[in-house]
Amino acid sequence: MLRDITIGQYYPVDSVIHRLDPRTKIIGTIVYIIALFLVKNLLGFGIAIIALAALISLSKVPFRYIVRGLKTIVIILLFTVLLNMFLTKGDPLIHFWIFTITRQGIYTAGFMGLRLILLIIGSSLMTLTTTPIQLTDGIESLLRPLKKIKVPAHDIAMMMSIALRFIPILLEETDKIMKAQMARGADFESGNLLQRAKSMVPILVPLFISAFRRADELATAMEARCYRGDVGRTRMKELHYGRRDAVAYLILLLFVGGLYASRYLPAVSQLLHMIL
Amino acid sequence: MDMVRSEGLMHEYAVRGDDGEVTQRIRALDHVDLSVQAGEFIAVLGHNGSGKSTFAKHVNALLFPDGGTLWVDGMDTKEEDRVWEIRQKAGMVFQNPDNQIIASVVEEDVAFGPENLGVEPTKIRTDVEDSLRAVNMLDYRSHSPNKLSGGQKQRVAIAGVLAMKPKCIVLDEPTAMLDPSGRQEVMRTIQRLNKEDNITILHITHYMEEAVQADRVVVMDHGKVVLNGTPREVFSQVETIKEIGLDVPQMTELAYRLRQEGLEVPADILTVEEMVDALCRLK
Amino acid sequence: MSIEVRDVSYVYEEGSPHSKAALDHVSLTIEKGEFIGIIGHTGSGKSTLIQHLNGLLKPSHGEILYDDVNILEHKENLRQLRQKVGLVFQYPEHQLFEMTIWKDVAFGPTNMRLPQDEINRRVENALSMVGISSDFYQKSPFELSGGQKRRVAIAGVLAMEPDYLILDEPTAGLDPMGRDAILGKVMELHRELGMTVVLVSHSMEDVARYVNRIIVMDEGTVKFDGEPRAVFSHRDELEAMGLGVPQVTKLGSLLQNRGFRMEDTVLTVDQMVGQIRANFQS
Repeated sequence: MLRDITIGQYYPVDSVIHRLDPRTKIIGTIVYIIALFLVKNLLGFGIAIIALAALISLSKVPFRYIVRGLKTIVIILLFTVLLNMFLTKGDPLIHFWIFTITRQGIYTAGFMGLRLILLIIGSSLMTLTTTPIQLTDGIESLLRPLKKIKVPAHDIAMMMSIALRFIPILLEETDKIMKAQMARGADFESGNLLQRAKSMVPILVPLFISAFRRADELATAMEARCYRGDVGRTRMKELHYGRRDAVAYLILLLFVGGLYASRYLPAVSQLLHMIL
Repeated sequence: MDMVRSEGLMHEYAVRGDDGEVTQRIRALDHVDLSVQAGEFIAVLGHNGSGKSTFAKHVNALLFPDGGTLWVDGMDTKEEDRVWEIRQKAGMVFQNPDNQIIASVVEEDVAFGPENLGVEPTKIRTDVEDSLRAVNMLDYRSHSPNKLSGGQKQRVAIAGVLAMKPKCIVLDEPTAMLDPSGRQEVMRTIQRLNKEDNITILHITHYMEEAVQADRVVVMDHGKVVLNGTPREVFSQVETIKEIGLDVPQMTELAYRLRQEGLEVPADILTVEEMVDALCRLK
Repeated sequence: MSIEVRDVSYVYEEGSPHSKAALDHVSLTIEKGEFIGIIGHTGSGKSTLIQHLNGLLKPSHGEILYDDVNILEHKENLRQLRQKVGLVFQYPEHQLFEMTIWKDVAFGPTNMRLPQDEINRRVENALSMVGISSDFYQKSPFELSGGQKRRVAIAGVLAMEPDYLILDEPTAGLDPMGRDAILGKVMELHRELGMTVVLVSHSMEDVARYVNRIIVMDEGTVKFDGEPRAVFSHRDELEAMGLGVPQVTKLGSLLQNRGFRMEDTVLTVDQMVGQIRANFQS
């Protein structure tokens, strides 16, 4: 189950998408997510789905691998969909007990579900094609203008990259501690919610202690290698926009334009009717 | 020339009681006088709590003297504005391979030191390549450290130090968490750096087999240097070493036992081959 | 009583492209009262093997029999099994979590739902077995030294009073004093209480000194299984695997080549002194 988390994991193949500047991918993803929430009709979703499908095939990441990441959010997804379905007011279709399902409810729920799925796939595509380091470099570079208003861009980026480095190590450690406590007769599977929560203590305490010990040792190791924040620091790999990125931004612009047009498409056709 | 020299070096830890008051002061280093020549390979032995790791941290200016003085390549570690220079000259490798690798890609991690020093990007690239080649890990430059073995991770950590162009490398029990083949990889690597690139090595360990490979062995106990000499001189003191609670190489112990039996084998035998020769000569 | 591993294979991440056979048709039997050493380098399958012995991993193929019965089919049996076969992981001190040493050691017996006075008896017994005195009972385990922490963690498994005690590299990262303290205690448990012990180790010298049977793992299979003398007589094969033999054993075979008489494969310094003395007396 822990292995199913694809967000934050990098999928190492060589593709056009992998070679894009991380800043392009971050901005692209943000724009895509915002666009998803502005889309209101089927045509718009159609464009968004086709765009994402095209990107996935360009990225050479197997579709199956990306979808695996959805498994972990199935519950949130279902919850959102059901909530939207039952709580949207409008023309009732089905009515039972205290629940009413409306036509609008089905639409909103369907769109919301689709939005979430596209959002997750879209953002995991970014992390799958961008190494954690590139990602943090990109974020650092994009946040740099905010330094003037005291946003610690470098520190945020460094914290992220260390977190990404240690997530797999701590997952492995969790597995080991669980096994060790099971060998001492611990039971994580039976009992009510409270008992189960209590049974997590023998895992969480050692995990926290270990995380703090690692943090402490890592800080010493970083100091030993002359780390002192971003003062006078250079980078081996500096970010450079290439022609590839210019093309990507152009496509992004076209995509946004297309979506924008799709909102007015019914109006456009009406206008045409009127003129004829 | 002395790469590292300490005179009366002292270090104290405060032990605090439940209410935060200092109840006791433990002397981790107690008047340590020690000098390490440039290009020497020194092994520091001692059991846990003997002060050997504390000494290592002083050499890297991660700790500062509570008394006495420590010079690294002529620089006094008390001079605050030279801390970064000292840390660059005397790089440090730690025990746990996972907790000293910062980046998620091997070459990015090796670049971390030179980046902190503000080296030009193109120069960092060649330094990183050279360092990875020196530890025989160039093929793994774009790998994730998580997929490497313990010995490989430690070699990456050594490359990370090498990329900073140090004169001296302090290794604080770098082999304690490795299996025998990982231990060999690390030992071979530091041997080569010492012999070929003339880098001064301060290797802290409690494996006697490793100490035997050094030019000089320093044994610490209770914050003091108790033995200091060539591996032969030090290990032939079988009784002193056993009293401290350390091991001697199995062959040295055998030589000691045979001498007790009245056999005239040399007391300073270290290896199996030497023992074979000594016994054949007696027969 | 015995544990029989019958033709067991284990594949990690079965069905995925990364799948890898960690155990490949392994068969062996552990008899009650034995002191076994398992050696092999990292990735040889030794950790996977010992996790099978108390049901933390289930074989992809083959079966494990306890007194001739395959009891892994029911979950309740699994809990009983884990009490009978105590497994001490590598760096066991990293699992300590309670406020006091006493409570931490009591974790296992409490999980077994034993009556309080029985829990008390077992905790005290286990702590005295590893040489932790009653002054320490109410202290936090995190105040102890590395070697002491590890002994408390081992007591946590001993308090379940297992018939079999499996230790995965119990001396890793310890200094010689810490190492001797732990191995000495383990030897005592075996000799005085007749406990069956399986010791996973990287140190040929330690294995030669303590165990009465050695299992050598390589690439998921059992390469050698027998008395230390018999196993260490395969010096060349062991060296080719990157494992080697104790230095005295190597010395013995080199001396034999040079015309010395060696009665048998030599395993310890004591034996070697005796052999050399015999050579010079005649």
